[in-house]
Amino acid sequence: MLENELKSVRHEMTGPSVTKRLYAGVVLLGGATFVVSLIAVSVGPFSVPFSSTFSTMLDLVGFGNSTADPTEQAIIQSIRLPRIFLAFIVGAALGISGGVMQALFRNSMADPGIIGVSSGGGAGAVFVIALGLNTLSAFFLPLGAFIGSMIAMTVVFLIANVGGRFSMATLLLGGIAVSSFLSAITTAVIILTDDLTVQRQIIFWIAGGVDTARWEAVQIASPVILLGLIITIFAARDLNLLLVSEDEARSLGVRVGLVRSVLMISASLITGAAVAFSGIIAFVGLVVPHVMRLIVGADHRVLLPLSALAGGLFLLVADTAARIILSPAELRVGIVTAMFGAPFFVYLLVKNRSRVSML
Amino acid sequence: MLLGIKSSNLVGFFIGLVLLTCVACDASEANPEKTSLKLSTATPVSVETVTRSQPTPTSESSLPATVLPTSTVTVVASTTASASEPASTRTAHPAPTEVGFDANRFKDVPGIVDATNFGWPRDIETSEGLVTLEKPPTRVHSLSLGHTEILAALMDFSKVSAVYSFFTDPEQSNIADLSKSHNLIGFDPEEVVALDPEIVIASRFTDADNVALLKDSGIPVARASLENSALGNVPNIMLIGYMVGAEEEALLLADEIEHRMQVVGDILDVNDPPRVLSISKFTSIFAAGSDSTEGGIIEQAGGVNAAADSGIEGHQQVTIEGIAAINPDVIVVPQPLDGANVFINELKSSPVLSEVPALKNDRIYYVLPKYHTTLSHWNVRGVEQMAALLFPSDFQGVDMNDFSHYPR
Repeated sequence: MLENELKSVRHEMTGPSVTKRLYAGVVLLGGATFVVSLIAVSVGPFSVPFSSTFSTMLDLVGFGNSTADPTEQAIIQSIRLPRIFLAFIVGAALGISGGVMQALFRNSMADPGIIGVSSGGGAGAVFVIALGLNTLSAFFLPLGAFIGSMIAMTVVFLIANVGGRFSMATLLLGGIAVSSFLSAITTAVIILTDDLTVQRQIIFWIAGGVDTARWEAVQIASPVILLGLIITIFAARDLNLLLVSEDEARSLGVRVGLVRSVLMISASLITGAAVAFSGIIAFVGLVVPHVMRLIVGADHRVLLPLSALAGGLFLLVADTAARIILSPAELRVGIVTAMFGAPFFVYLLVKNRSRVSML
Repeated sequence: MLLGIKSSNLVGFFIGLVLLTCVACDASEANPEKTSLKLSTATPVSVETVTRSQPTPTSESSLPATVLPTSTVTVVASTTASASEPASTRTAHPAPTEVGFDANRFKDVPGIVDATNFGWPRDIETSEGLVTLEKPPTRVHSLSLGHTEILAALMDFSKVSAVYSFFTDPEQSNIADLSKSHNLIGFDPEEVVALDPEIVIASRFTDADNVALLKDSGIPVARASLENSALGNVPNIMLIGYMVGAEEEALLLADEIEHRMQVVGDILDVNDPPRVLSISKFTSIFAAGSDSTEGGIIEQAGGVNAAADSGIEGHQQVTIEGIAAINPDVIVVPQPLDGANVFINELKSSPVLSEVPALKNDRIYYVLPKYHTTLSHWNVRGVEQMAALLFPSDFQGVDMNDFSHYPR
């Protein structure tokens, strides 16, 4: 894996223009996101005429007046738009953090939750639900999940730094241990609680989804995720050098330890923010970076921003499908991501067999 | 052949009758109380007199003040067993049995091997195979809340070997009062084996591995059905009654269920049934569609299940927008009160739902989950409560009471 990845990164860094590939990807994925967003805001269990949707959208950006009735306006503004935004930023967060984790650990099985962030979020949410705090305010649940994510991340980092010497292997194994421990706590609470309501709330939260999205969630999650995205994208060049060789990176002025820690913390922060508002959505963070690597190559200056865009687009498409397939009922988005994403991923693997061996 | 009855059977019948009369005479001399086996002493009364206020501890020991049809006391003598047959081959040749109830009602109950045999031993056959009960069981264990609720109506609760902790939740369980002071166990099958029950009643929801473990440990297991409607559960109640030797109590309970449903049906005069949506929120919102207990309750109470009407099957996730699309006239929330209040406030404050008739007309109600989510005769209370909510003027003054536990 390592040798192949090094070859790939060297090839990419000296290959066709990075800017050209990045722009092409941004235009394509950005355009697709815009189109899917328009479709997503126009469809749903409640029938809203397209003219009403269009005029409401224009009204929101300061052009003309909405012709939609109050219920239609409320559905577009309070239900569909926050959900579309949240799905996109959560998908983007998972996509980019998956790419970072796979690069840092040089492990194609790494996902955003590999160092315990998702399990920590789950455990935090479980405590909030078990204590009944989620019935007091809608924000205690994401807050508890975020705090849980950050505590898990801190503990794993402390384990990896024992003796004052940071070790990636210890970080990985510590992450697995902490994840298992926290998952066990979550399972124990589910099994041991007498309260059926608590059981159901935990199970449904863990199943993940953006069906309860509100603007407040978007407002809180966006800055954290955006900051993490910017930091990560700016550190992409250093990540490339790290992957080629740590010594080579040092000789070129890269502060290896700092860059690695910043990337790890940044990826964990954005994963924690995503998990806090969406629960645990599997598959996106694992598969989207692989798909993008197959398409755009392994240069992280291109791969990471496009993984963010592709992750956002993928979750948006999956969530829109989840909303309309069984309308007025809906599917859990995790079911859709796995059912549609997995066959597509297998198709790409088979089609690009020669490139897969390079990765 | 005489009128299609074989003469040998007729001879057997008369011999059995004579024997039974002797046995009955002996029994009446030994214990005169046992000869009186009339099903019900209640006289038909008007709907208003049917009802009463919340049952008091003392009232639980008497029959509920509901109108129960006066049943005919039928003496059924089963075909006599051949004297040469060993007593253990009771399935083919049951001993003559005198019963003081309408035994014909057990005839088509699935699971009863020989509906003419009301003596012991007796056989039942479910998907878990044939189980022979040598005598009325005194240690019965049920793996589901619904079956335990039925048992609580049919037999002394002390014969239920143990209960699970969630049975003690007064919002989810109709036997919380009995369960609180009862033997609590966890979900480990080992704990069930340790109880040494004479029969374990599993439901269609019980995991096959758990059942296999119990059977491997030598515990007889019967898998009885649990239906989504109160009337649909009547055969199940009859089977359990037969299983535990509480046939009369099972018939009484079946009669009460049928009667109470009849009372509701008689009062209902629905021309324009309201569309009712039953939803709960456990992090996400779930609606009860077709083939759900809540949906069945809505329909039996004279409403239209709006979720089923919109194509939702079983329990499925919906959003606020989905609720707006379903556009119900009435919303009911059968979940524990704390969560229900928060959820109802969320629905009431949503601008998306402001034009939905249920919200516009303030017809959104919390209903006790224990009547709506359990699978037992207690669903009848759900139907009664729902009918009173949907048609308050029709049910004004009709004060319907809870079911009584054993002794009824």
